[in-house]
Amino acid sequence: MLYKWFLMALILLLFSAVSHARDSVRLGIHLEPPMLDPTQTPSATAGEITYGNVFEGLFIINGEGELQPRLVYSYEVSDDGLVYTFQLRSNVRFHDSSTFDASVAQYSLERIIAEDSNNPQRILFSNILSIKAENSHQLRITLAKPDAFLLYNLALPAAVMVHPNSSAHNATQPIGTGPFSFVSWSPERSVLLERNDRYWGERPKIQSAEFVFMQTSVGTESLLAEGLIDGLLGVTRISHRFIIRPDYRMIPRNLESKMILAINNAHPPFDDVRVRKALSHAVDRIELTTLYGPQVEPELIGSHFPPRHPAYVDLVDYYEFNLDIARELLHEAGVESGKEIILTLPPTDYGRYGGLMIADHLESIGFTVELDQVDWQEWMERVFTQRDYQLTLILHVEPMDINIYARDDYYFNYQNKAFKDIWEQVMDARTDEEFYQYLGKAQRQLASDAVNVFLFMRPERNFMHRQLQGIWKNSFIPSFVLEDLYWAD
Amino acid sequence: MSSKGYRPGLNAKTLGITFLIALLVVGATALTARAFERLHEKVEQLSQVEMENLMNSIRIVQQAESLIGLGLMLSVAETQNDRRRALVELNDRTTWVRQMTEDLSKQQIDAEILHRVAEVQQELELNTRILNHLVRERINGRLGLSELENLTNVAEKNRELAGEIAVLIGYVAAIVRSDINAQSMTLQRQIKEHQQNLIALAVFIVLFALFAGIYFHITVVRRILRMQQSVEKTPVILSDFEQHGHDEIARLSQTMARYIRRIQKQEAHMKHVNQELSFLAEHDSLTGLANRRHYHAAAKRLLRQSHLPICVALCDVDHFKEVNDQRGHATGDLVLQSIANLLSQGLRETDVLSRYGGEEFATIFTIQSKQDADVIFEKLRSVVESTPIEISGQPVVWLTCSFGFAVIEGLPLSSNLTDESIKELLDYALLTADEALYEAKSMGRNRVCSTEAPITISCIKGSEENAL
Repeated sequence: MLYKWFLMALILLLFSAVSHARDSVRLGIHLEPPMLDPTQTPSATAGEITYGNVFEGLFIINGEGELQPRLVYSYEVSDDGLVYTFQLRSNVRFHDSSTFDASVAQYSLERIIAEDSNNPQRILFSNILSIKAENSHQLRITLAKPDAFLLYNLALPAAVMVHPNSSAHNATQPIGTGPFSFVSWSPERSVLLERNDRYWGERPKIQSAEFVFMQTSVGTESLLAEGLIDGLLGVTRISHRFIIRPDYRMIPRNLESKMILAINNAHPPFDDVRVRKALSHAVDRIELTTLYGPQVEPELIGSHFPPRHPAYVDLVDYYEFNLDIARELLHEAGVESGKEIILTLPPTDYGRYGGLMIADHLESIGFTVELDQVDWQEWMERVFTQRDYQLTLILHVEPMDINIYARDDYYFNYQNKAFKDIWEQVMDARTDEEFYQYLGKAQRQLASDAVNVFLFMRPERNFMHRQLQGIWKNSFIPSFVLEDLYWAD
Repeated sequence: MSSKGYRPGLNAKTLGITFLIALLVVGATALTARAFERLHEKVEQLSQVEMENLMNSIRIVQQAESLIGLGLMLSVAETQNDRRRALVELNDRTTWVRQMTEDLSKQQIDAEILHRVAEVQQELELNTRILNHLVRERINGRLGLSELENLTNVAEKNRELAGEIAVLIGYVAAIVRSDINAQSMTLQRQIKEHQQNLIALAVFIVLFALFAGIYFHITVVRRILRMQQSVEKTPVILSDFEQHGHDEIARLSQTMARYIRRIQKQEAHMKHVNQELSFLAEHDSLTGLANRRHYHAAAKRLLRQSHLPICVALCDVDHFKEVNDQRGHATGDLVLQSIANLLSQGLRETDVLSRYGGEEFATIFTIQSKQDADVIFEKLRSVVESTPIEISGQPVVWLTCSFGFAVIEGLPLSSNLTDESIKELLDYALLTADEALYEAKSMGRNRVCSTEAPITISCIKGSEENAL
């Protein structure tokens, strides 16, 4: 008897000493978010970490790219398409144990459309007339006019549900209803999430996830080489080198990330369309496509629009690569040779090495280019918010975001009544045909105005450990949802 | 029940020892667990913090060396493109080096050194900016001679600073390495110590268990075996059982001893009663002589065994009825007792004498010849005749006896003879003796008569067939 106890005790001891099956992941992401509240920052980086993990919306775009109810249980739309009635899930709690109900949902949505709202997608919800909690779990949204995109918009990271008691601190201490709760944020290093064991839905297999910020190219290389990260979300210049390792693999994903050389349209000499056109002629996009190594070939674009969309218009050759034309245009615009310009670069792989190429290209038509390498917070602050920049190389990851050109206060400083009119038409389109037609028109308008230099679609690949399975591949929301992730044997 | 107050019985001892062993095992397990935990912490610290520190410092040293090369690339860049390329790479590495330096654990490493490294890094970043500026101007052809010289100095300083980082972090790596070595040595020593402790503990537990086994053998098993042997022995000797002691086995032993003593007493009593009963069955209660049944049994035994002639005799008290009538039955009984005494005194111890009827006695014994019997009976007759029977408070009684006997010869008898034939022979002899007695009575009493011809087996009808 005694010896049985002894044996059992020993076995227990051994079991506790031997660590059990792997249930944590370290995922590399390129940019450190300026904050972790996706409802308050235009930077997609907040949503990359928190969407579907910490925060949940009324709807979600799932791993197959489909719109699904999340915190909504069921809903009805009135015949005139103006009134939406949502039944909300009843057993949902925030990580701080606060209850989620219709009044919380009402608060979250009213916060988006408020006068002083900081929400990056506020404009998408301008159609909403009223939001009302009918009872504890019934919410009614009344629209000014029918909006086919409402449910889709409610699935965006910017429309996730927050609680009035905690929303003020979500920037640094995000509290949501999701399957993972926030643990810590080590500046410049990582954000740590752990499984929320009281989650209302199915329990994820992964217990903890660390999102590591890959701030430097050499650091990325080093971490990959040493196998210190289990997945690198998005390709880099050196990813292809590591593909020969048997423990890594590339898997495709379904984002619509448009790489552009963004131009401050209000900053001389770029307020002159000829100068902007000169830039479009001068940038060698073919050379830029070598940015991700020989194995991946990015698809070129001629406007701010993904080629896979049915309304896509091929404007790739709208501006041929021709330095003579470019120089001529600069001459016409009166830009003297040796004009000093600054190219602001985000702290990403493409920023560093793409920036070098573009600087070369621009110098070859007579500019003197200085690189301004900034961290992401500074980029968001100076470039995006204050619009204090000339040129910047940047990736726009939000899907179907051509509407940003219709916004008054967007960092491109592009103000064109013609485009705004076109966008009105897009919004009022009755049929798909009309809708596509106006979208085509919008693309052409952007190309002809040479608002930015439209470069290419970023090849969408995740670089993952071979045994790490279940990452959402077909969601077009820039996010890394962990709920289906698991380690295969 | 005999003990006063609490005395630790076997139960308590068993419990105590079991508990002690359990305590030892639990203690050993707890100690092992604790040791494992401490080792686990140490290994964790070693692998998480120390190894990370070592790896980081090595990475930093490598990168610091590439910083020297990139600084050189920057300073000799011929085109803006080359310059920018070198700068971008430099910035990338500088950031990485700064981050890794920040990640170095402050616990193991001299804070002063880390502080110095941070200072040098800042200086390097600043110097790189100056160098970048100077190189850009040089490529643009805007530098004078003195500024060119300055550029050389700045470039030289860049090399020095990067070199200094490499050296400082190299030193850090060395410290961390020796720290890891020291810790792994400590770990090894501790593991060895734990191993030894565990072995010692195991040996102790085994010894203790052995001791407990021996103790139980002595205090329980051996005593029970001894008790069992004592019980199996015949006869059971009471002194073999434990007399003293207070534990369960001692008490059991004492109870058994008491029980056995009781059984033995009972046995003795039964034997006595049995003897008495068999005596009563075979003897006459008045005279203490054998009764008729016993006489027959003894006579038949004697007939089978004897090699000598046998005398079968009957004796009758003369005029006894008058004694009974005149003096009463009680006196009659006393008289009979006296005569029985006289008769038995006159016979050998081994001779069978029985009260055969009211005042009739029968005897049977071996003789050498008929003359012997004549002598014996004559003597008996005269003893009775000459002996007055005194009864307190009454006048003396004088009595006589008449004797008749027969002699059986031709002994020993064939062993094939059936009990039936023996009985027939005896009956025949008794009948003959009775005829002689009758003769003695009719001749005036107080005399001895016998048949002249001896009796043999052939006198009995069918005896030949029996003999075959």
